[in-house]
Amino acid sequence: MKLFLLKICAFLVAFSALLMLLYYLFPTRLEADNYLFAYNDKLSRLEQTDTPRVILVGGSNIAFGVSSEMIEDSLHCNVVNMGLHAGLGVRYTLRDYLRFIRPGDIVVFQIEYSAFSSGGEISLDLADGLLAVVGRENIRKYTLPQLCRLAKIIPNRVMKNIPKALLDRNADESSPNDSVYHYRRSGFNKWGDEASHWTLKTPSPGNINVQLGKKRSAPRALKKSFVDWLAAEACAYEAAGAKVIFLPPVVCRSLFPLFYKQGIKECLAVAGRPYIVAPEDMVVDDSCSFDAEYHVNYAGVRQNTQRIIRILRREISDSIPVRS
Amino acid sequence: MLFNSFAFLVFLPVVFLLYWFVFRGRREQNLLIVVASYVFYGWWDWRFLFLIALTSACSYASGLLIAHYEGHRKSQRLVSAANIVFNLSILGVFKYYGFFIDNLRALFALIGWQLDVVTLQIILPVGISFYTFQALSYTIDVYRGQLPATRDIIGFFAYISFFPQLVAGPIERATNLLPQFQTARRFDYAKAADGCRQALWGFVKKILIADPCGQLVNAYWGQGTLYGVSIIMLWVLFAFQIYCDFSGYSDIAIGCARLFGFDLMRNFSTPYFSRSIPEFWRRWHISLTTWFRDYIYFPLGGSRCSRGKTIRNIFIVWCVSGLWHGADWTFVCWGLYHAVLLLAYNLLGIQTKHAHIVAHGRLLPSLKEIFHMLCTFMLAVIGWCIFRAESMGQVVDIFSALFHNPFIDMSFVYGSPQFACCLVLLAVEWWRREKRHALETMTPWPILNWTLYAVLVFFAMAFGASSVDSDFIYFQF
Repeated sequence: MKLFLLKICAFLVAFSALLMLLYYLFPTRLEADNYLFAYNDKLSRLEQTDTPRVILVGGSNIAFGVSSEMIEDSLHCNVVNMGLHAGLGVRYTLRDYLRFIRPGDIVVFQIEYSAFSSGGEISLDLADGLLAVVGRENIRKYTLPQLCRLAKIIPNRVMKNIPKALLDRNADESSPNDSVYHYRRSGFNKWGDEASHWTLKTPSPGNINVQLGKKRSAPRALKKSFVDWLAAEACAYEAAGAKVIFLPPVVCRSLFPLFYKQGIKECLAVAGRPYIVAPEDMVVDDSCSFDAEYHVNYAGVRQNTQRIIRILRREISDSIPVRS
Repeated sequence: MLFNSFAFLVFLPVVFLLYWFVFRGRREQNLLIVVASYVFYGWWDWRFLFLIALTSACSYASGLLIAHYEGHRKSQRLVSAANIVFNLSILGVFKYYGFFIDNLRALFALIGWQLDVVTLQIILPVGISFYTFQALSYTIDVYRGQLPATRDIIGFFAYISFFPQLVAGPIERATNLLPQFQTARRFDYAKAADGCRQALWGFVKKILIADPCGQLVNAYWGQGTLYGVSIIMLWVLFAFQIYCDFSGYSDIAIGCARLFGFDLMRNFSTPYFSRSIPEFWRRWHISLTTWFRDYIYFPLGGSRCSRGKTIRNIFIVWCVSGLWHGADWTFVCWGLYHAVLLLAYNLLGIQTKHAHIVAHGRLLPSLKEIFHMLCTFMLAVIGWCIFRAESMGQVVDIFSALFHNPFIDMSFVYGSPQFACCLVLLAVEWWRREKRHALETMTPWPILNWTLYAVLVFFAMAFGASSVDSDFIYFQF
């Protein structure tokens, strides 16, 4: 028995050590224009933008659904669009943004509905990609579930990285390039809005969105622990002097029943963080959908932004100090 | 809980350590197995635990009653029949109620009646067909006097719910597994090490072959985009998917059981190297095939009766086998298809009994053997097409598309990496065909063996990351 356990343990230790060594020697390298690198740009803007400011926090529904310039012009305050990718997991990103929050900030949490069932953890395929962007020293910011996900993806990355590094050292990884749109860092404008898709024609409006959405909207239970965590995080933002608002994400009409989990609104209300508008009020017409479930085209961006402006003006007009 | 999940990765070592280090007595170990098995099953849906408990309790009680009425054959028959009917009723309600009602309604609609019957959305409890058959095996064996009724209730509950084979077999016989719960177990290094190797091979088959093939099959099946040769390629991929998925599960189950000192029966024995359909069924899902043989086919008279009765027996067994797999006409038709094939072999008097595996003691098979293997494989593949189809209408559509122009359609070249993996599997299985599993008794050089294990673990993990927690096909049965 002892020999058996000893051999198994020795094998596991040696195997893990070798794997870690290979992962260290052959890291994932992303090309400079990779979509994920926009994360650093957004952090820099968050750090450098003066108050008063409105900070939009969430996944790609904000990146693809807002014109910050329109909000700035209407509300006369700086806007920072931190939206990038829901798969980065708000449990990592919200914690990371907190260090740049200042008194007087107005932080709008516009979290994708999927996070309420996934628990807001980093997705498997981005657990490693994010480190390539923020630097490996930031691995200490990973929570245990995030580290588990990273550990799970490491063999896969090593398998891909070694041949890539040996065969073509210059072949850094670009972002996904689907039939509709090429996700890239340079697609963002100075506010952090994904603006390059504004001029693109939406192919078969609504159809791609609905098809993709139906595949992705697997029925999963709402995680109340995530709502509690989110409410606690909002408290931390408030402790840093910010005002926090919870706004439902923009989503097209056909997909709303698929993605909105019954009980999210009620759970947030019970946690003392209610949505300031009903989730149904943030729905846009199917003709406004772009290439993925939460992405809208320029018509959708204008409609959604005007709605956000109206809501912010109504809700926080007294809190927004006019920019000098 | 799935074998290929993170939860199981934690669960198994914890149970293993508790089993050998904390619960050292036989009864304590059996109790631990019952608790662990109920946790394992309850992880999926705890509400159905009562069903396993009910099945176990009734079968246990029926065994005691049969023993109690020793010498009173009529009473014994009544008790065993009552238990069989009870267990089959549970199976019927949970698995066949919807199917029965739908067909009844359709039948009445044909004569213009609208039947107003209550329809229920009943969830099919995972593995119900497996553990029900295992429970029936006990009752029948006790009734036949092949096994004494057990008074060890914990051992019996452990026998029914033993977690490695609870949800997808092998369907164990009480005569094989139950006595193992009634004897003290000692840790056997060779057995445990071999169990690890067999489980590893099961994971490799599931993750490196079944899941990638499944992704392709699911993407193309029934889409109407493939024609001619491409369709046959898709069938072949499904044949490998279902083989690697199910035999992979069996290997993991048998391997895990060996870690705890148990020997489960072999469930697969390189079935795609069979030279005839009867041989294929002696090598595929052996635990189910022998179950039907021993508890249905032989009691009906088997082949030792008139030709007419033999034909009847074959059709009954395969009709039931089809229904066992699922409540759908496609499964029934699949069963009947195999009944027709077996009957053809029987009526034509083709020699199907072979003393050894193909090319025994030789490196390569003869041309005749290759021809026989290819024919058998293609017949099995056609059967898998019926098995996989969502309806008989889809079977007709797929077969029509088979003869649609262009027959040689290259749109399916995406399948090539999967085909390469299947060919590697075939080569490995051919090389190791006389072993119980591909990783049994490796080379005499430990360093080489460990390196091979490390490579397999690496690839299983690397590919496993992208096929997160994918189900096993046979869970639905």
